[in-house]
Amino acid sequence: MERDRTSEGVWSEAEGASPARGARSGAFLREHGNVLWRLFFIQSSRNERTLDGLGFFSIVAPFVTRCARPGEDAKALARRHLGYFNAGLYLSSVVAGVVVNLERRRARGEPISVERIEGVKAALSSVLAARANYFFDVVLVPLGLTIASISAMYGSYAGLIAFLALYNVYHFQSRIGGYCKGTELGEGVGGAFVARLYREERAIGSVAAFAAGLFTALLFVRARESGGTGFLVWGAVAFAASALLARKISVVRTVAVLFAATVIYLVAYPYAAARLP
Amino acid sequence: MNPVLSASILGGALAADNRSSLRLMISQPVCGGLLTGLALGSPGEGLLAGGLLQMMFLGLVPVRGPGMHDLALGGVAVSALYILAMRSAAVDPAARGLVLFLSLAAGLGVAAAGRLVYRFGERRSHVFSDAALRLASKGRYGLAAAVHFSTVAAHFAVGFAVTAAVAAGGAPAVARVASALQGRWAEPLSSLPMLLPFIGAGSLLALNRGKVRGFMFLAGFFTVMLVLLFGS
Repeated sequence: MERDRTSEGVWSEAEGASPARGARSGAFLREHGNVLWRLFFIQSSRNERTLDGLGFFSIVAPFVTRCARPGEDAKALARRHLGYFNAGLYLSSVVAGVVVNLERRRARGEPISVERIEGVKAALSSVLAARANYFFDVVLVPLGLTIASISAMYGSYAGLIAFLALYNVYHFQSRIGGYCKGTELGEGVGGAFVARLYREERAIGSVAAFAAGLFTALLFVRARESGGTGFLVWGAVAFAASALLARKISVVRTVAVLFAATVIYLVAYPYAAARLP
Repeated sequence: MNPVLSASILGGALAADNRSSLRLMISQPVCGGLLTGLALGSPGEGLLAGGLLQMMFLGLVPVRGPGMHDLALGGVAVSALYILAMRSAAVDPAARGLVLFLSLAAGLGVAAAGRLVYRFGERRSHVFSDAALRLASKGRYGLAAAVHFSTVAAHFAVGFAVTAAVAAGGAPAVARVASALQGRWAEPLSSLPMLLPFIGAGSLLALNRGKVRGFMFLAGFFTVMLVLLFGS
């Protein structure tokens, strides 16, 4: 039974720094060093048939010959991991780590069936993909890009650097830390682990919303300073239309429509203003 | 280095970052714009053009697969076109807004075309999977994995070719169109950077619906307003 670890950190928990831990890190790097860089290219060969199956195989490839049981066909193991795989981008490393853990234990003779490995792989894939995609795509990246945009508006690079630093801390933690956790915990990557992932999500989400409000207000201030009431009104129209249309049609179509409308407004407004009584 | 070549190498590298799932986020248009600017010797202009494209798409949540537009290449294209076209002798510096509009329109086209290219690629790239399966069946696991990594080179090649075509062919075209129209439309369009970001702000509001996040959005908005009110 999984013990309650909801109060612990996700990526570095419990044991603290010790000489034994340092030695373990060295051993881990020797064993898995060839895998870590592979984690970053998992979706490169994405295709409609097996999605990231080939990418997943490229991660476990160094273990194929080592993980086949004596007398068992390593080719069958390789074919198994060349099948369908879809775990998103950020936490597919956790799934890879868990699978490596299970395959190695199975190779050592533990009673772990192929079906069990495939079951764990499929179950973890969907749960972790949903969790990570929401955190990164809906919370963290919009926050970082809003900060970068505010600073870019004033010609500064500082926001951009802050965005890259903020994002990549979580990014590397999820991908490298995720793999390490997967290899360490194996099937122990369960409900409690998922519940502890990205616990700061709500706080970061609130900061992202605050930053978005700040960004919007600064746009209105700039529009008023540079174009007066005309720009203020058009800005409000574009803002409201975008907020409404982004939900009804796609963001991309919304951008295309409002981009064209803004250009027409800017070109037509001086002519209309000159001809109006 | 030749500006078209340096922009193309950067386009290839950013396409590889974006599509190979390396995803360091340097391929976001605001970063790509700045990097293109640095590569072409005008970081400020690159940041302006790439940043503007980024601000329009702030509320876009990327969905992999058919819906994913190629904003990475779009960002490089916008910045490269803007910088290179503004350097053309035929373009009046006062036509900055018009050149920016034409570059953004072309960049949006590149982003949309990139989506079609990768849709086509994802339909066909099972050939890599099939080849790897054949190699794995023969026990050549390292080679099977190498087939996967070869696709990174394919992403680089697509990015390189698209950026080269846009920079070499698109920049003179933008300069020609801008020089033909600059007397009439140039001045009003210089205000584009003031108005286009409202599109992204609206989609950010759509992303932040809900009690808590909606409240925080309003809190951010009114914080600026209060600071201005009491500051003045």
